[in-house]
Parts: sequence; structure tokens; C-alpha cells
Amino acid sequence: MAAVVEADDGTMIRSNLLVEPDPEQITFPMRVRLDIYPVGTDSQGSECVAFGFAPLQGSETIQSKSLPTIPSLPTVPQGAQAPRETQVPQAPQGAA
Amino acid sequence: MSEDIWILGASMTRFARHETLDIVDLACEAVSGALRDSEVGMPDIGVIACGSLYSAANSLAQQIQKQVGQTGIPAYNVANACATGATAVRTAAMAIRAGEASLALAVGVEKMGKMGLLGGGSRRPKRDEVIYEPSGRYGSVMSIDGVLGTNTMPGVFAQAGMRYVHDHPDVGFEHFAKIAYKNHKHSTLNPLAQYRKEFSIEEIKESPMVAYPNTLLMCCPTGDGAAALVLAGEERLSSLSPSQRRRAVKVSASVLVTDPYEPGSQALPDVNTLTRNAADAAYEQSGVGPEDLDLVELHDCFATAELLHYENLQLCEEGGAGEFIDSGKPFRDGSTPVNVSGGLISKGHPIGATGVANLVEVAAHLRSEAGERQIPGAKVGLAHVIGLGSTCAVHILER
Repeated sequence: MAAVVEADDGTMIRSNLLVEPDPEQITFPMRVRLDIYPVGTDSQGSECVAFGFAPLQGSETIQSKSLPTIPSLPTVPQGAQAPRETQVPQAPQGAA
Repeated sequence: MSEDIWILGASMTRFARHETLDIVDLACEAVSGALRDSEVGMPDIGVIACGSLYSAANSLAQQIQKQVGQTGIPAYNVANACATGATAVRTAAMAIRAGEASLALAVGVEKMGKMGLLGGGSRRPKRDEVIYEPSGRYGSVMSIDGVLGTNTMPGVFAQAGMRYVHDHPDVGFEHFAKIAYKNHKHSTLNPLAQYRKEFSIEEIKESPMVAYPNTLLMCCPTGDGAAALVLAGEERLSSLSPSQRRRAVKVSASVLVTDPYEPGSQALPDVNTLTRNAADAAYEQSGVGPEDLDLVELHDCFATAELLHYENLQLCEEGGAGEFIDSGKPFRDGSTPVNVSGGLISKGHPIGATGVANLVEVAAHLRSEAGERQIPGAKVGLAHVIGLGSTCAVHILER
């Protein structure tokens, strides 16, 4: 589900919420944590991952959750900017 | 403003999906209508500005002249997202103020058909073999729309509306449905509207969901159409016949702004700040306040957008947009009628034509020529458009 997440420092991030696409899934304010998820695999088997935000469950806090390992990343030619999908930002907390 | 600008003639085609008319045909129909309405001919016109988002690169103003009269005058072809038509009007008005012409023609036209969702970029074609290779400014390996949020227009305006809901929990789905109900109802009285069918609030809520909270009946359609204005400078107007002067409508404010920097506006386009800035400038320029407006044509590309602009244009108090629609004030028989034409939601939104057509609509009411939908005794009206990118235009007309 497409969303704009506001981090605690005010930074706004265009991303997806990793929930079923159903308005009932959304409450305001909604605490979320950064996550990554696969969005495709190319013909050579390279997997592309994107970042999204998943709702925090119950008493879960961002400190209790470590980022998953990125499986495989496409090669970035020298001088090219790393694709956003492969950058691993610091995990922010925020509300959608 | 220096010299006052007046609308001398106004005309528009019906907004529809015109199977047999091409973009030049549509533009010429509107231009011919505006010239007849103003009682002048092409030899009198000193400059032409033509707005068309998708055809501005095709020298459309010159193509129009080949049909209605090639007089060798300066022509400007402009594109400015959904503010394209209003930008053409501004271009024509500026030529008069600059002293380069005393009569100017502004036309907006678009031929969109069933163009579908706008914005978000195109999907890359499907191929048998796909190799992820970083490309473009951000080094992406695939189209990111739908993967990292969305930039499609329904998505952007859904999020803008939900941001308002986030900040004002008393506003919800029902309010957006009520706005669409109003505009569809208004359009039944407008013979030039693309759709002229009234829907119940329940029908609107139950129509297919496009991007929550906007259902299909809360979204403007794509379509074809044109609108045109003949503008005159104050001095030229004073030399025209009594009948021309009697029907002239004064442009009391003409404002065009772009979006200033706002934190977060690259994640979610900020449609509010620039509209507020444009409205402030227009009220200042005209000396008219929101309480003086007899009607407003605002940019309701989606029901969520209309709700935001109630507040942005100061038609209601801060945080009062939900209460405003609940009160009935923006209905045709309310104290501040909004989108009596049916708005973009039902009258239609052929992009280049929109910013001219809303001035045609306001002018019709101020001349008491709006037929069944006439706002009795209308003297002051406001027209607003916004194009993402972003640009906002606000005009205030007086009689």
C-alpha cells in the first residue's frame, strides 16, 4: 500500500506500507518500522529488494528488531549512484 | 497590476470524448465562439496564447490560425501541467499589460480520450530477458511506482486527503463522497459537462475504489474539449461599443505561483502552500475577500482536492472543511457555491482547457448567462487551478 511515512525527525519518505491493501489496516497515528522485501528477480538470478514500512506490533519497538540481511545485490558500476533499492538507511521510526 | 484586463468574449466546447473532432477542430470551435461573443474578428487580435499540455510542441496556435485567420501576430504555445489553460490566459493578459496588444486571444485545448491514470512514469516494456542494471538519475533497476509509494495522480491526491484526515480526525470518507455528490448533482444543469448524471452518496461510496478514499465517482475523467477567451485592455475597451462594454467582465486579480520549498514536499507534493499563497495574493490584488465571493470554480481533480482547497482558498476556517461541506454552503443554493459547473469531477478535465473553462463558467454567471444553473445576482467569482510540479493560478472576476 503506497504511503508517505513521517519519521520522528520530520523527514518524509515515500514508500509502501507492508500491509494488506485495506483501509481497515490503517490507523492514525500508526507506528511503523523499516523493513525490506524482494520485488523481483532478473534473468541472472539477481534479486531486487525495496524498502517498506511494517506496523509495529504490540509493545514492539524499533530497538528490538534487527534489520534482515540483504540476500544479493546488483552490481553498481564505478561512478554510478547506488540504486535506492540497495541502500540500507538507518532504521527510522515513524508514523504513516 | 498596471492596465486593467477585461474578458470581452468567452466560449467553450462541450467536454466529452469527441470521436469526430480533432484537437484543431475543438480549439477552432471555442475560438470562433469567443470571437463571435466578443464581436471582434481575428484582424483585431494582437496576440494569441494557446495552452495544451500534450500538443504545445506542435505549434497548435499556428495551426488554429490557419483555420480562423493567419494575420501574422505573435503566438505563444504553452504547457504548465494542469495550470496550462490559466497560463495561456496569463500570457495573453501580460502581452496586453506589456503594451504589445490591446486585444488578445487565449485558448486552452486538449484531446485526451481515455488516457487512463496520469503520472507515475511508464512501466518498462516486458522482455523475455531482464537484467537489472542501474539507470537514470537514481540508478533504479525497475520502475519504482507502486514499489516505493506512488506518483500517480489518484495516489498523490488520495495521500494529500488522508494527510488532512490524519490532522483532522472529524473528517472522513463520507465528506469526500458528499463533495462528489454535490459536483455530479451540479453537472446535471450544465449542458457542456462531460457527465450529467446525479448519483446518491451511497452509489459514490460503493463505486470501484481507485485510491482510498477516492472511489471512481470521486475522480475526474479524462476527455476532450476546448475553451477560449478574448481579453481587452482597459483603454481598448473604452473605445468599443456599449453592448461590448456592457457584457465585459473585469479580471480583478490574476495570480500565478509555483511551490516554495516545504519539508517533505518531494515525498508528497504539497498542494496547499502554493494555493494559499496564490489566494492571498489574489485577494490582496483585487481587494476582494473570500466572504465577497458569489461562486468559486476550484480544481477538484479528486474529491480530496476540493476539500483541501476549501481551507486553502479561505472559504472556511482552519480545520473546518468537513463542517463546510456538511453545512451545505458549497452547494449551488448555499452561501458559497463551489463548482456549479460540475467541476472537474463531472464537467470533465481536458487538461489544457480546464484553466480557461473555469473562467468561462465564472464569466457566464457574472453576465447572468448561465441558464438553469445561474447563481442569482452573481457579481464576484474566483477560478483556481493547480498543476502538479507545481503551479497554481487564481483569478478573481468582477462585474
